[in-house]
This record gives sequence, C-alpha cells and structure tokens, in this order.
Amino acid sequence: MENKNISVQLDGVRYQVPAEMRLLDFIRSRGTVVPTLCDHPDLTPAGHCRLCVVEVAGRGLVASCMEKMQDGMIIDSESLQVQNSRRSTLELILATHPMDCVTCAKNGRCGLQEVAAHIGVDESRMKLMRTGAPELPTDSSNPFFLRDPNKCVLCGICTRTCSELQGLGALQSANSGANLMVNAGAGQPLTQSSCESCGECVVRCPTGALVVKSSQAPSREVRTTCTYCGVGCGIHLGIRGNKIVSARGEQDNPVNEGRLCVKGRFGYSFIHSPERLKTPLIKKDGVFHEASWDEALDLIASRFKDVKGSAFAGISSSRATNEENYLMQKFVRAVMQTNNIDNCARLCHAPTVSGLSKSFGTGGGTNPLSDIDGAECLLVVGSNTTEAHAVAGSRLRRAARNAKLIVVDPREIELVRHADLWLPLRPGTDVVLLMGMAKLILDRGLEDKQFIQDRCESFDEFKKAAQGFDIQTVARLTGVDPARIIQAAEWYGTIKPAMILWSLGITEHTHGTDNVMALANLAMLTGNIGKPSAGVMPMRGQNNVQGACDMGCVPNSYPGSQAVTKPEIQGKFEKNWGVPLSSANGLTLVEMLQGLESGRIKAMYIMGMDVAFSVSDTQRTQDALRKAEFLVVQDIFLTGTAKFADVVLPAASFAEKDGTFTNLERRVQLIRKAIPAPGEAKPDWWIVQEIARRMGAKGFDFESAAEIMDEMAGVTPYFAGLNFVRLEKQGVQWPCTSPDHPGTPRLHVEKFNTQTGKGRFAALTYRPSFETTDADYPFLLMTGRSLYHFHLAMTTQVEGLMKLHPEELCSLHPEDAKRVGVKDGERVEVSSRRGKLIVRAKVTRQVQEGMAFMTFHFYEQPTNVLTHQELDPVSKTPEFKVTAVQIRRV
Amino acid sequence: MSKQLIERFLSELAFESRIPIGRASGQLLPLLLRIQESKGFIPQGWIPLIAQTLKMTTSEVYSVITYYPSFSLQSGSRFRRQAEFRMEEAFHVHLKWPEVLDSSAVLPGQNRRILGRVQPLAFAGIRRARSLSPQNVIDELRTSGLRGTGGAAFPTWLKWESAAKASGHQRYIICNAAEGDLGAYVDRAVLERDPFAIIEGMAIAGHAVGARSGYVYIRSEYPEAVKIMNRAIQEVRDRNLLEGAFELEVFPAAGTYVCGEETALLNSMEGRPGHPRHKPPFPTQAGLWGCPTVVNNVKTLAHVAWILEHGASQFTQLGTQKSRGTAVLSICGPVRNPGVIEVPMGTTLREVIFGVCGGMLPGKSLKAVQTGGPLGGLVPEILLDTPISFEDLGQIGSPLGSGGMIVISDESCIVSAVQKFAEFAKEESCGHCAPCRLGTLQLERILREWIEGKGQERDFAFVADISSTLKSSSFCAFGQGVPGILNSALKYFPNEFQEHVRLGRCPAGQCSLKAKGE
Repeated sequence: MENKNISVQLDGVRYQVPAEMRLLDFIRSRGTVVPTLCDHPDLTPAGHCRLCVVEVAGRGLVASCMEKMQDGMIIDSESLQVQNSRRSTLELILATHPMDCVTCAKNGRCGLQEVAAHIGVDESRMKLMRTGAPELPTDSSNPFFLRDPNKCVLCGICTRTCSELQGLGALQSANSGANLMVNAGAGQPLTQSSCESCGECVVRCPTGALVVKSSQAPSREVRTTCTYCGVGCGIHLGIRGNKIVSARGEQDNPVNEGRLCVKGRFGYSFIHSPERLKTPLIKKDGVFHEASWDEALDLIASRFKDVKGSAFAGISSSRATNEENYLMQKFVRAVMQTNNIDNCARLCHAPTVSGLSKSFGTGGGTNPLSDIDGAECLLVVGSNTTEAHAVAGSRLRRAARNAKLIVVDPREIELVRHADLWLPLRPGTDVVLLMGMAKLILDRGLEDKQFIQDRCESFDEFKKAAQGFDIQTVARLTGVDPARIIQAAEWYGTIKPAMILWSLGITEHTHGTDNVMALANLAMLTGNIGKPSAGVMPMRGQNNVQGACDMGCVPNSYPGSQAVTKPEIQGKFEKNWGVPLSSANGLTLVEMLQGLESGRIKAMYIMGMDVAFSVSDTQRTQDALRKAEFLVVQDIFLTGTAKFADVVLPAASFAEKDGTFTNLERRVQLIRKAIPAPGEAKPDWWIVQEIARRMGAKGFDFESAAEIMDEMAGVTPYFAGLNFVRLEKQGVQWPCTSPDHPGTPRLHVEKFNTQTGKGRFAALTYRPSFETTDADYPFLLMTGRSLYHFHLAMTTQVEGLMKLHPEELCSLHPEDAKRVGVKDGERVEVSSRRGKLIVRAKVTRQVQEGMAFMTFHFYEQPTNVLTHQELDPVSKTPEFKVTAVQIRRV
Repeated sequence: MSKQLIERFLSELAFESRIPIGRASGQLLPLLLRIQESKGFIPQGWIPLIAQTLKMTTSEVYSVITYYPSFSLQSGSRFRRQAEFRMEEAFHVHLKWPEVLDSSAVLPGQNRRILGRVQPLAFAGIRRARSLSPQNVIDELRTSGLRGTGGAAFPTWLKWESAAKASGHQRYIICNAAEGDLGAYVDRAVLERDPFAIIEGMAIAGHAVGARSGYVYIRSEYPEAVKIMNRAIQEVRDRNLLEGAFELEVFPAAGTYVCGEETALLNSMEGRPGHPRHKPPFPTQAGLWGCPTVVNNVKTLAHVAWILEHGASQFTQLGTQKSRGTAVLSICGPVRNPGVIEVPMGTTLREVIFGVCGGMLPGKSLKAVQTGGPLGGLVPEILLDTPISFEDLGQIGSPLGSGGMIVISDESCIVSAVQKFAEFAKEESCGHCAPCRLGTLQLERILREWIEGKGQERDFAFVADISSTLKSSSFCAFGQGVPGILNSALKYFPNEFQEHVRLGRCPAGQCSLKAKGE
C-alpha cells in the first residue's frame, strides 16, 4: 500500500502526516504532552483512562489513543473542554486512590503522579469526592512481586500484557462498574492462578499496584545474555555495589524483544548464594579441605600426567562459554591425548544433532525464533515450550492466535490450551505417528513434488517404508484418534509456511535419532525447509548446549563438526596445536561412565555438569563415579557430583566472566563480566588453561576470552567470521565464514549441507521403547522440566523459585490416584526396576491414565534413580522418557 | 462427577458443533447459564474444570462469572440487580405479559404491521427477497428509509451494505433482543407474538449480506420469549422453510444492560465480559469472531420482513420525512391502559397517552414522560405535543430510544426519580472507562445526598462537571447517555432540585427530608 499523506491542523498549525498514524502519536511527535495512563507502546490501545482526549472540530472530544488521523482533521489538544474533561476524569481517578505517595514503591516513577503533575489537581474538589471505599487486601503470595489493588487505576496494562504479549490471560478483570478489579485465578492469590510469574505486567504497571518486592534500584547495568535456557534472551543485569539487584529484558535483542521469564527476571540470586564455592577443595580421607589454587592445580597436573590417553575422560559444560568449551576440548585432545570428550547434549539433543546431520548435513535448528511469528502452521512435538523455553513459548502462544497449532504430547501441557489440535500419543510411538502422517500426506498427493525432486534423495525408499504405516495401525499403536491424525496430516500438508518445533520428548528415546529424522522427513516432504517461517527448530535446553557441541566437546569432531577421523582435519589441528592427535572417536558420556565401571577409564575431569543426578539410573551412575581413581569437578556449587570428586575447583558464574553463548537458533551472543567472582573463584577457561600449563602444554597462553575465540575462528571455517568486536554490537547466527559475512539466519536455503547437497529421506521402521509396563510396574513414567527450575543446583538456591515449586511431585491422573488410593498432596512411593523414592502426588488431568510425570530438579528426590541407561544406538542418548514404574501409597 | 456433568451440559447445548475450532469460549455463557440453572450457582471448584474444558484460564472464566448478574458463586442467585428492582417499584413498572392495545384510533384502517401479523407463516417476505438480488434487497430497504429501532436509528440499508462489502468467508446476522430499558417490553411483545417475523427478517438479512447463520440474542429474563423463539426455529427447521440457506439459534444473554450495545453483545457471545469495543472497526467489518456481522434490533427485523412482503412504497405511506413507518411503544406508569402499542411515526405523545392509553388514572396528573430508557430523557407536560419520531424527540433531549416510555405523575419526585436512574447507571456501568466507572459512582452519591437532605450549593457545579465529562469523554454510548435524564430534569424541573438542595424540602413530599436549619 502506498504511504498516503493527509493534511491536518493541530493547535492552529497545518501538517502533512501519514493517514495510519494515531492522533496520540502524531500530537506527541509534535512535542506536545498528552497525558495517558492506559496507553502503552507494546499493547493494543484500549481507551480506558480517557485522559488523552483532544477536541476534534465537528466531533467533540475523542480519545486520541483510539483514533487514526483523517484528512482535514482540525485538532485542539488543549481546548477548555479538553482541560476540563481531563481534570474531571483525573479527579475521579484520584478520589479512589490512596494518598500515601511518599511511602509508595513507585514514588517518583509513577504514571499517575506524572499525569497529575501535568493536568493539575484541585485538592478541595477531590476531597469532596472521596468515598471512603474499604481497603482491599494486598496479594503478596508471589515471592517476587506484590499486587495492591488499592493502587490500581484499572488501566488494563497488566491484563493486556498477560493476554497480548504473554498469550496467557492469567490476569483478567473481575466484576463490573465501580467494583471492577484486576484478578488472577478464581479470585485467588496469584500463585494459585495460571500466572507464570514472568513479571512482564510488573514492568509495565504505571502505579504501585504491581511492584517488585525487593525494589533496590541498580546503580549501573551490564548488557549480557541470560544463563538459563537455550533461548538466549538478552538481559541488562542491574548492579548495586557488587550485587546483582535486578534484570530486565533487552529491547533490541531479536530473541526476546525485551521480554523475560520468571527465571530470567528473578532467578539470579543464586549468584550470591552463601553456598557458592569460594576456594579449591581437596578431599583427604573422605573430607574436603580448603586448598590454595597452587596446591589444587599442581595436584591435578601431576595426577593427570599419569592418565593421558584413553584412560582419561573429560566432560565439558553446556553451561559454560564457547571459549571455555573450546579450551576444554583442546585440553582433552591436545594435552590428554584422547577424544574422550563430551557434554550434556548427550543426555538431551544428541539425537537432534545426529538425526539432522544425517538428513540435512547440519545438526542445528534451521530458522530464527522470530520466524515462528510468520508461520501459518506450527507442529510442536514433545516440547513443553511454555515451561522449558518460556520466552519462546509465549512467542508460540502469540503466533498460535493466527496460525494452526498442532501439539503432539502425551500430556495436556499448557500449550494444548492454545492449540487447534492435540494429539496425545503414547510415549515412544513418535516414529509411527510421523511416518503415518507422511503416508497420509503422500496418499493425498499433498507432497511438494518439485522440492523433493530438486532438493532431496532416497525418496523412493522412504515412500516404500511409509506404506507400512496405515492409519489403523498408526492409531492403534499411538493411541490417537485417527480423525486427529488425518487432520494433523492435512493441515501440515497444506498450510504453509509450516514450522516444526521439538524438544526432549522426541530425543530422549532409544529411537531418538529416528524420531528426529521422521520430523526431517515431514519437513522435506512438504518443502518446509530453507524458507522464511518454514523449517525445523529443536528447542535446545541448556544456555550453551549448541555452543558446547559446536566447539567440539563431542567425541567425534573438532569445532565446527570437523570429524576427528578425517586425516586432513586431524593434520590441520595437529599443525595448529603443535601436537599429534588421536584419530579414533572417543567415548560418549554414558559410555565414559560405563568405562569407569569396567575400569577402562581411570580419571575424569567434569566441568560444570551435575553428572551424578542428571544421567539416568542414578545408582549406577554414582557407583561408576565412585570407581574413578581420580575425579576433578569444577563448578560454582558443591553439586551432587562434586561430592564424589577428589578435587573441587570453584568456578565463576556467567555474571562474573566474559565470553559467548550460542542459543538454539545458532546465534552467538556475548556475555559480559558484571561483578567480581566470589572468593577465589575463577572463570573456567582460566582454570583449564592453568592445568594445561602446569602439565607443560604449549598453546595455553590466553589473556582473555576474546583471544580464545580468535584462535577458534582460525581453525573453524563455520565460525571464521566471529570475533568479540563484531559481537559487541549484536549476536551472529552461524555459519559465519568471514568477518564481513552477515551470518546465516536460515539454513539450507539453496542446498543442504550433505555431501551431495541433497536432503536425505530416511526409510524408518517402528522400534518399540526399551522398557514396557507390566503387572509389577504398571505406570509409564515420563520426566521433564518445570517452569520454575532449571536443573538442580542453581534454581534450588533461589528462595523465590523454591517457594513457587518447592519439591518433586509425581503427577497422576485422578482415576489412577483413586486406584492407588491417594489424594492430591499425599505421599507415594514411586519405584522402578532400578530404584525408588518417595514424593507427593499431584493429581491432575494433565497426564493420561496409566501415565505419570516427574521433573528432575531436586537432590532430595532424585528422579533419575528410576530411569534406565539403555541408549539410542546412534546418538548414545539414554531413554529418559519411558520408564515403567509402580506407584504405591505410603 | 462434575466433569461428566459439564460435558453433558455442553453436549446438550446446540452450539458445540457449530462454534469453530479455537472459539470454544463461545460456549462459556450458555454453559454457565445451564450450570446456574441446574445448581442454583456456579460451584467455585468447577471453575478450573470449566476453564480446561473450554481452553480458557480460570481467570477468564471467573471474569465472566463475576461480570454477569445472571451468575452467582454462592447459592442464592443475584439474577436481577437491586437498582432495577427498586426502579420497577418506584415507577410502577412490572415485568408481566404486556397487553397489546388497540391503536385503531391513531392507525386508521390499517392492520398492525409488526405487532402480530395476520398470517405469520407465509414467509412472503423472504420469498420475495430471494427473487431479488442481494443488492436489490438493500436498495429496497434504502427506499423504505428504515432506521434501526434499537436506539441509534442508523439506516438499516447502510449497515447491511457495509457488511455485504466487507471481506470474509463467514458472516453473521444477530438479532438483538437484549431489551434492557426500564419499562420497555416492546421487543418482547414483537418477538413473542410473531417469532417468525424475526426469523424471516434475519433470513432476508442473510440473503442480502451473504450470511448463512445467525443468533437471536435474547435477554434471559424473558424465558418465555426464549421458549417461543426456540419452538419457532425448530418449526422452521422441521418444515425446511428456509431450505437450508440460513441456520439460526437462540443465544441467551446473561443479564447486563450494556450487552444491549452491539459490540458488548458480541464480546459476551465470545465468552468475555460484556465491555464495549471501540468502533471502528464496526461489527459489519469485524464483528463476531472478527467476521462481518449485522446486529439488528427485533423491531428492525420485523419491519424488514414487512417491507419485503409489502414493498418499500407501502412502508413509507406512514411516518415522517426522517422517521418512516410505525413505532412500537410500551407505555407504563399511572395511565388507565398501560401496554404495548404500534402507532405511525409522527403521532404525538399526547395522542398516545391520552388517546390510546386512556389518560391518567383518576386523581393523578401527568408531570413528565420518561423516554429512551436509562440513557434517554424526560419530556415535561408542556411538550406532550411533540411528535413521536427520532428527530423530534431527539431535538428536545429525550430520544425515542427503543420505544419504552414511563409516565410520571405529579406525585413523583423528580430528584428521586433521577437518583434511581443514577443508581441504575452505577450498577450497570461495565467499568471499562474511568469517567463512566467513577462518574456514575459520584453522581449517584451526590443525588442520594440530595434526596437525603445533605445537598450543598457547590454540588451543582460539581454535578455539571461530571455530567459533561461523562457525555463528552465516555468510551461508549452508555456513559455518554447517562447524564441525559439528569440534564433534562435539571432543565425542566429546576425548582425541584433547588428546593431539595437549598431548602432541604421535597415538593412532591416523596423524600423524607427535613428542612435545613430545623
């Protein structure tokens, strides 16, 4: 549409303005003040407060926030009628507002004070109006903020924020007329409503009605990247003295556009936890003793010298920076002379990497998160996005308003409420469902024939394999109503552009790689790859799990997926690092533990991972760790794993060092040192480097994280264009092959990254899950994340998050609860063929009958005592998602 | 148990199959009404279940329950609001079967047009409409000059044309039968006497704008009307009288005045509190679920059926230049024959009250006529010769509205009457905008002080200030219309106010005041 200008007159002056402009924006753009309480740049105008009225000739007063400019409009922004009406309305508002400004947390930053100062108030008239309405109780149930309805001016900013921006609708108006108020839940405290505590409403509230409880204003701010999940939100950490006192979203960051979740906004007090490690610890006779860095590092160097080669294993950290991960794998490969290096991606998205590498040639998500906004069809499989990736989840909820959302999940997760279609499949039957959908698409001739012909290979084998998945079989095996499967196939087959999102519900299976390839098949089949809002998005868990893999903390490749088995690659790194390197693939994470069991692995160096509680089958894992002859654990807390260590090294948190994280859309973003580390804690890269140097290694003389990135960029074509100077401005999505390369928002636009350049269809067959239920273990247990926690040690140190989710719960369907004989909140013993624990039951229709659900966030109730260590044969990822358990009343 | 019951209720509601995916909240009001009816209240513990079933949050469901007076969270319904009840008492207006009066004195030689047709099931109007192109139907209405009878008097053809031209696959026709004006039983009378006329009018509208489905949104205080309408719809369906070209059903309202405003009505149908929406977009552009929607009053649709049957030229034989055809009125208060009546536009108030209604009850004399409902005004005795038309009544500040009229006798205190209306306004304000939410609160408080003898001189300026802000700055027609009665009372009966405030005396002797200083 052409930009048509119109002619208007404001306060006696003529202007040419674009027609689509609102009166309010136009008048303000001329430098004229227009008071408002309810208008907000992020939100749809609502016209509640009526303070922004202006006089339009021939029409009288109009609310300037609601009206667009029209040709020939004659506007008076300050006529007598305007002034009178604004004053009168303001008096009406103030008459029911408490007058305790000085003690109010919003004093000086209050929107009501601001408009009152502009409009002017006659105190005597206002006194006339005071009605002496009874004081309403303040809701202080939320640990992070409070809600005082007495100070609410009913501007609707909080309710609109919750509905429009968060897509949630937890805050709504209640009652009508003079009794109107903002309400959460069924007239309940916030914590009992569906409020997700993101605080977006608190940020926008103009008055003292919603305020942060600990409202210490920061004296300076540092721009950095959130340390929680793989979404990678930009944040400004607020600092007072050496303390983090606040966090706010970075408006200009395309990842989160200023928004944050509860953890990202309120979850940083773990940094100042008294439990932080402050000095190195050395275990003597089973007891930890504080030690100096020299003592600890020298001890490690001398012990590590004796275990060079295949008896050594290193586990790197997907919580740490790219630079630290690069250095860790360099240390393991160059100094310890082994490819036994892995990271926790092995427990989550390794099947994504292996599956997508097979199908597309690159193991990363194909599109930017912002592409979700433009998708017409969204297929979400095995991803509880609104809890595990909350900020991306709210983007998804917003997008679902205009797109078809299909949710595939055994549980009725929050996202189902926003979905057009929910497919509650039986856990472990993903291949069946997805191949079944493929067959339906093929049967109806909905496939993108041109795309398949031009860009893909192995189609015929795939087509043949799909024939085995007729709808009756698919419905029987998955337990999903066939009509829903057909609908899903028809929508995904016809509504474009379409995106697929998935997470651990897809990967944590003994056929996780197959699951991923089944999704890749669907995307290729419909041509939904390499286009805006068409692609596949693995929702990666840890803040830098993408980066840890990218940096080569995997047993089969150097940074940038350069295979260790390729002689030319090996040669390049040998030349660069100046040492001979091993050409044999190393062990994966669970294999390393099994190596400890067999005695093949003697020493282990774990950086920033809570192996003892995150790997499945806790008992077996911990027994293995006990067998290590020498175990070094480096972390910010004395984690459950650290307790098994011979030496514990205190690391700096993300707020205490420089570096980069790579988020789930391959965006490399800076983190910046905001405060000094506590005690003698040091950045991980410094520690790794010190050990290497004490072992006499060359090539560990870095002065900064930036220098490490420069070396990494020099040996990795994919990241050749990365450096701290350009990242200072904004994040870059890899591949980025030269300093002037703009980065790559979308993969596979022209061709795939496989050797032939073609996408490879996979002819898949159904393989049942390893464990099945029986009379002794009749329930099928799934595990997953909670919104209020991340893993174990960090969020459990945040008091407020612990208030919101204090302990492990076992979710059970009401009918099953009846059978077990428990009520909500009562204790049950959950046991599997490997272990048992006691937790409280949460009776909810979120889970289907015969199934149970638990998270894995609590040391006191370590869920992984139940899970098993059977692995996906390709990616070696354990099957966390399907465990047969018995549940008994205690 | 509650889960099964909710699911059963839902399956019993006709809506389920037709409300599109993603619009489950559209079933909220019908479901809540069903639960309220069966249990006597909405059990608090059911709210999460209702929310989950309809894919809403508990807050959203709670918001709706607490907004509409038809629902209560404890046993003991608050089905009707106190202010309305008190007004009915004060003005002798009772909800009963309204008598239809013989209007042959003022409508000579004519059958009543829409207040009960002679041959109701002929469906001649729709048959003729279908023989015409949609544009021709709209043109016919244009020639007829028919204006909306719900209060706004907007040209009907223009509304239809706007909806016909708007883009969208799905379109809706909604009959607004949320008649909420005090003492107005006009829509109810038309609807209960000839529901087929409404169905026919809606089908004609559907033909003209390209809509295949519609709802009759009926005030739930009219259970009889709901039954009659449902029966009529069933009959039309059974006999396939619309040949499958138009489907419609009843949507029961949940008892708020503001939901008579078309956008608030739409919000309530979508399972939200009945707050008005900003216009534009108008419902004809983006109405129910964002689809082009025509919302017409009951009488408008009945007129449509009549016009299509008899032709526009017949229609314009009665009425004034700007208000064509007939007006249907309901007259309450101390007259000999209160009831519902159809008269040609342009008939004077005096002719109606003293002609058709037989004048005042013995011993009473007329002080004023309240027209246009709570957003209307007062017509003093000296202006009784004003013709009944949109333009003439509008000019004297007491609009025709939807046709309800309350006769007020000399025995009634005007200040007290105005206070009752202010109380109604306070209770019915939806709360969306600050002037209305808070202005009605203050107005009612001051007027109450006046009838209690606590008035002060400076109140007048204050009241003038609030009235003017309400009128000029409120979000919707409700707040803008609230000061109408007060303003015409102040204009025509200034002495009564002066005596109350300055002297603490009620000239009608109705308020229990003590004179100041005594």
